Amino acid sequence: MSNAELTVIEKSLQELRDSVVNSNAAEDERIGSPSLGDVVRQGDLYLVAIEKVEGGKPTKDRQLVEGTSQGSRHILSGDVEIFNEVSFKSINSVLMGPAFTCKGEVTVEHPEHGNKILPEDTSWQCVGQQAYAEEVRRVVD
Amino acid sequence: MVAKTELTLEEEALIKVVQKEYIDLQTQQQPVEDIELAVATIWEMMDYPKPKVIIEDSPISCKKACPDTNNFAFYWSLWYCSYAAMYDFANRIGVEMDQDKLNKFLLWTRCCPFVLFNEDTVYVSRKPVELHFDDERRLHNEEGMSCRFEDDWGIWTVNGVAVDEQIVMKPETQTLKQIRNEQNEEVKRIRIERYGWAKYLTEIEAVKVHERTNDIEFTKEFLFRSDSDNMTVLLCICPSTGKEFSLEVPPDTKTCEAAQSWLSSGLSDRIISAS
Repeated sequence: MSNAELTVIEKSLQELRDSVVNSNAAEDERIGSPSLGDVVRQGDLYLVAIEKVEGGKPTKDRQLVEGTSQGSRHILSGDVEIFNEVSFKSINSVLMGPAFTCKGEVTVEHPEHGNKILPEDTSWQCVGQQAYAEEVRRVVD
Repeated sequence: MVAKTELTLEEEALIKVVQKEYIDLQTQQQPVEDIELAVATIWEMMDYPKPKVIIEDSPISCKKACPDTNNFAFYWSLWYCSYAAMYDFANRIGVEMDQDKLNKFLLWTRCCPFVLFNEDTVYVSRKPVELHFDDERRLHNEEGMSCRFEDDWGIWTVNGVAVDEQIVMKPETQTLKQIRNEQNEEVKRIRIERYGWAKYLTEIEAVKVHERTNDIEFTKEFLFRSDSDNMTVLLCICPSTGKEFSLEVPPDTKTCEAAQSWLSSGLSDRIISAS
């Protein structure tokens, strides 16, 4: 690869870094009145606003992503009902996380990406970010 | 236990004092007689006779010294130091609790970070001799082990993420295969960061095929393509942490929008908030 092309890569990386307006902006964000299908992204976790949780198995585990790493610490606090083993659209089950209903205002906490405060009487389906591999797998951070 | 619901300013200030005490304590070796007392105390609570105590330099030394690990259990008391700090703090500000049990618990967590044991014999690891942290108090060292025991056993960590010696000490010797086969995305990011993003993208002969500004996150995104590896990579940055990520997407992906759509299983078009 020529030096000219290397410069393009380095320049792209610099542009990428410069584009972060306010790094470490891990502040609380209150989600107003989401429409069905709206998506809140917290790191590699997508929260999809759904009408209601259908089926599933109740769980008391408030961590939305399995694992012990810092990246996996998406944790619910507040009055919430959580269900595992739910299905959603045609999304691969490997990527599916729990679904939950906020009985009051509920916070999805995360140590790096900031907290998302979800309104009362809303329901959400968790979906993980897809990772490229021969078989479908979920991003692990 | 008597509850206490509000802290005075002095008590709030004490939190950091106790926190520092307990972090410092993690590398302070304890006298042999205290270690033996801690073990004997817990064994007595379980109605077991006083066991033989063997002190080793590290958890791995305990395992090496033990003749039959299949018949021994192990226990990391190290995890309970945070609870010890919390109870100790509460005790110091006047919360009443069973003082005898508390003292035994504090002695145990102070003296026995790791034990390998059966009823008769207890191997106790000494504490690490070095601990290194980043600004956020996560285990971190880019020049050696983040946690090193006297016998040079320990762990390698970058910003709290467990990695291996090669990634820390000789990142330039990593192969493209090692990086590509890394299953943990956070470790993969660290691998590439330490290898060098420019070098990595150069070596896979990637060329830029698309770029955009993400309308939700207001950050730049670039799509690079390597024909030689039939590999397409979205280069993006987390708006809240500033961490750069290279995320492999299907080879025929043409745009950053398409890459984000694939990564999100088609959800990215409806994102109203991202961090």
